[in-house]
Amino acid sequence: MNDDQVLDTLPIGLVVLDRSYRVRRWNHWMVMQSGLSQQTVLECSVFNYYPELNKPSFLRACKTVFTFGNVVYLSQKLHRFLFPFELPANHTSGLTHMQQSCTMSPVRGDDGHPQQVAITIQDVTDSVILERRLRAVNNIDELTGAYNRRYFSARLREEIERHRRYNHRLSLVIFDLDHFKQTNDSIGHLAGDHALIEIRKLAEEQLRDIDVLARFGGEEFVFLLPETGREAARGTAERLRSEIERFSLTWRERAFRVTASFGVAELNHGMGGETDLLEAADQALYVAKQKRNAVSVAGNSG
Amino acid sequence: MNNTFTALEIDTLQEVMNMAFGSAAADLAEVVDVFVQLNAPDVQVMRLDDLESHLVAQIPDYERARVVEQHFRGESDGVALLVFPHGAEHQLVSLFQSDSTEILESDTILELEKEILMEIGNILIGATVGRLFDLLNRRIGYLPPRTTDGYAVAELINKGLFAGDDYAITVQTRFDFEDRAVSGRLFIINRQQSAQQLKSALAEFWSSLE
Repeated sequence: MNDDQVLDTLPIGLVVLDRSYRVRRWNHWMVMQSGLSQQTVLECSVFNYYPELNKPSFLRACKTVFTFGNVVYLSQKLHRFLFPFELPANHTSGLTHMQQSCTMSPVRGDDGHPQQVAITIQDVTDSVILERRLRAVNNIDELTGAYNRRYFSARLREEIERHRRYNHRLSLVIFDLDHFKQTNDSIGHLAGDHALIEIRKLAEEQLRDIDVLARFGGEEFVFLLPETGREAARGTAERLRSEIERFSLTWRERAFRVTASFGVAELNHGMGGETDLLEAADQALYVAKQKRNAVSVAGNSG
Repeated sequence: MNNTFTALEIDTLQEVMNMAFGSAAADLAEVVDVFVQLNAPDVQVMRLDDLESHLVAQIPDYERARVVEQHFRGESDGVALLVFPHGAEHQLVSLFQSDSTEILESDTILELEKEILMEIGNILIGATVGRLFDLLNRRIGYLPPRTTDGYAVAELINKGLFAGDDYAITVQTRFDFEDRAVSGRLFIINRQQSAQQLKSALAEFWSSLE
């Protein structure tokens, strides 16, 4: 069995490029994944077939191998993939491309200097899907589909650190459905569950991609508004309050409505951290709860 | 077996380091598209029992410092530790973030920063440690880098990498990244078992200069 046959038995991709990025080896795994035969790609620039590789991160990795002779690890977490091999259209993961963990190693010439770079490509798509599922189980509230409190706390700590580093504004809103016990008692707990799910959807429609919505507990939600001062946060809370008030819910052909009360707080220099910000928003919520279907901002009277 | 280093050997090591780091700085600028100032390395030989207190004295907020740890094996054995102050990785993210990097979720942001730190560490360690052993005409290979913290480094020192009365050679330099208010320190700790190999390599290097 010659070397080429041995390399063709590997369940990973192996590509060897010279200093001009011409393909010197292209093993069977690569043939199967790319649909390009060895005869097609050998001696050609890899950029002819994969122009996506002609980007700073790949060129930097090649330079590192050629200049310093060390092994470069291209992790899936950082790079997702090197060669854009599309997954089948019926792939249910939501991923469009095979996720890859790659290494790039020097192949030295007789003078001891790196003359070629050997790239290995490992398909880690299944591991990524499993990790995402586990992460979702860990981070998502099962009933509503919003983030859970554990995840929210982690994001809150991160955003507070970012606020301190860059001095960006940061606001937090807690809201609570009014008289929710009565809804459960009169229409049923399943109707209450249905309301929580619909309110989560309404809230997400009002929020930006960078905002973080979580179920805080029971009928209480919380959202974090990065880069947002308290007046803008009050505006967001007011819009959502109004949407909830106007929204008609239906459970088993029975229509009902809910309202919500909102407490808004902005992180300021006098606050120690996440506990202080949450407490400020919670106190504002307490004020709003005295009126119901209202928005109250910490530090403002009324 | 005498594992202590003579004054001549330490001077030679210092000289090799100066040469290695001088050429590494220029190549680093080309590879990472940013000027990385490599300060003159400081070579010291110390008893392992003194190493931790040395690191604590050199590195602010030592226990929370971010460390890229990469072991090397071959004709010399040891570990390279690239130490950044706590939080420095945030400053370096924009330098090294990949074109295809997506930030999806909270845990991922932290993981991405770790991954970026490992890429930086891999390049810097490869550039400096690689050059050092190239000059000494010794071939080494690297294990994959990993990120850890100062506390874990203390554990590494205290648990098995060395015996307590062994000598560690530390090579300390500071990296300053242009336009970034961040600097890191590199420590190369050579395993005691390969002290003789290093001494031989230094002797060969010294005689090649004569």
